[in-house]
Amino acid sequence: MDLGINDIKEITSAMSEYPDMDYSNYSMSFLKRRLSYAFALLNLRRVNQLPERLKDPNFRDKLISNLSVDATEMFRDPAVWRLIRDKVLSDMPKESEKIWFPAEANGAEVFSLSIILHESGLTDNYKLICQSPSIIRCNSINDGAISAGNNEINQTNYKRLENQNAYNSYFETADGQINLLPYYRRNIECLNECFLSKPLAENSAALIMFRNISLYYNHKLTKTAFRLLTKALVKGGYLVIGIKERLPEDLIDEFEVIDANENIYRKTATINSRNHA
Amino acid sequence: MHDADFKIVVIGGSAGSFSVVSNILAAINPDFKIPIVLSLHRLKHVRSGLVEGLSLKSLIKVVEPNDKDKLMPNTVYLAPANYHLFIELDGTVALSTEEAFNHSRPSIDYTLSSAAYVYREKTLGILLTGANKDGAQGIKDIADKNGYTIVQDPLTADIDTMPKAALRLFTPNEVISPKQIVQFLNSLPI
Repeated sequence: MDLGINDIKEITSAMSEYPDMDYSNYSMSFLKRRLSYAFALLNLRRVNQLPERLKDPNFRDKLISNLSVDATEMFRDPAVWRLIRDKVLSDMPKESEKIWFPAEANGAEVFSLSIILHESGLTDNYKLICQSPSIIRCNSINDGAISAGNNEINQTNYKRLENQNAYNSYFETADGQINLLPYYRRNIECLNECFLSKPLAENSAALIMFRNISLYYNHKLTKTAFRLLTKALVKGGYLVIGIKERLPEDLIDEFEVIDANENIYRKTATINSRNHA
Repeated sequence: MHDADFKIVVIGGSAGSFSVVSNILAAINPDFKIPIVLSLHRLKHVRSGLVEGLSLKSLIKVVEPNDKDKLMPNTVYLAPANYHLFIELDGTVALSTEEAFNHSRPSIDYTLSSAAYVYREKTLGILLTGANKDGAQGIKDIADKNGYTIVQDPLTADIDTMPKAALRLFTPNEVISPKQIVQFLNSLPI
């Protein structure tokens, strides 16, 4: 379906009648193609059919799930994971045990970190809290399910980390479905919530993973989201964003740059201080 | 014929296109104002090297944009490894980690089609050598919006799958050699 701007406005307006379905501040190019993609999967042929279909909670969940973009593969950008393993984990603030994945799509990010925590002997020091507005996505993450199609690239990325274990030792395969073994996800919990309406409490997260998520937001929503994340971080906590994303300018002073290429930031000990190291 | 008032140049290519693009950028007028966007197939895990390689000979600044960067004059933008590159209605770059399209991320079709949607007849689309049909539909989308389209002459292409796939879909304004592509670009008013 080729959606015009007016169609998109009509669609986002109908969706925003429901909780956690306000997509009006997503970028236009994203909505144009992703709504077409989701509508095709859901067999929706005309925009005016949408309000009726939206009354069905199962339809709404499938729509949210289809609009959610996978962070592609596990250990995407291996250099980021290497830095987390070698630099960030040894310097985490002690006052929080929470690692937050505000908009986890397919588990690729949280499972990657879980494996790294295991290999660092730190699994039981942390709780990995994910949020997703889609029940389908949440259940899949809580089951440790990974996309079989990504298995090869996951494995290649893992090898680039120069880890000692065998990638396959972390997973079980049954009926073509690959799942992270329960032992390695005992500290993972996915909550069926949208972080924008239910963010983590202020000063409560030691590390936030928010890679390649603001890509789909417009400038306004990007600012709103990053402000929530900054508030939720404890002082000295870390924020990791996608290598092609930028922090909004009004928040730059709240962070020190740990690695400019891999976009790893640390919330400065004194907010708004320009004299940090 | 074209009205010569292009707002954007989008170039797609795959196998063999690096040297063609490099030669184009080495011979282009250094004052070429129109933003140039490159969507080239590349290894997803090799992040660096391509911009540096192109910059060696390019007479215009080459960058790999961040998401939401505004397209500026006299600059070449290269789609980053493992991201799709779209153009937003406000002339900014929108990157994406969505599924590979035509087995490709970046997908040339995606970049070219989004340019056509935003700039319509003010789009100049160029499709080069390549071993994949990705890009054929995108450059046709530019033609469908009355943009101007150039396909590299398959006889001059290292691998002619990509230009031939485009020529099967539609008839572009020009089917010319890389050298003639440079002449065309340098004939545009600055």
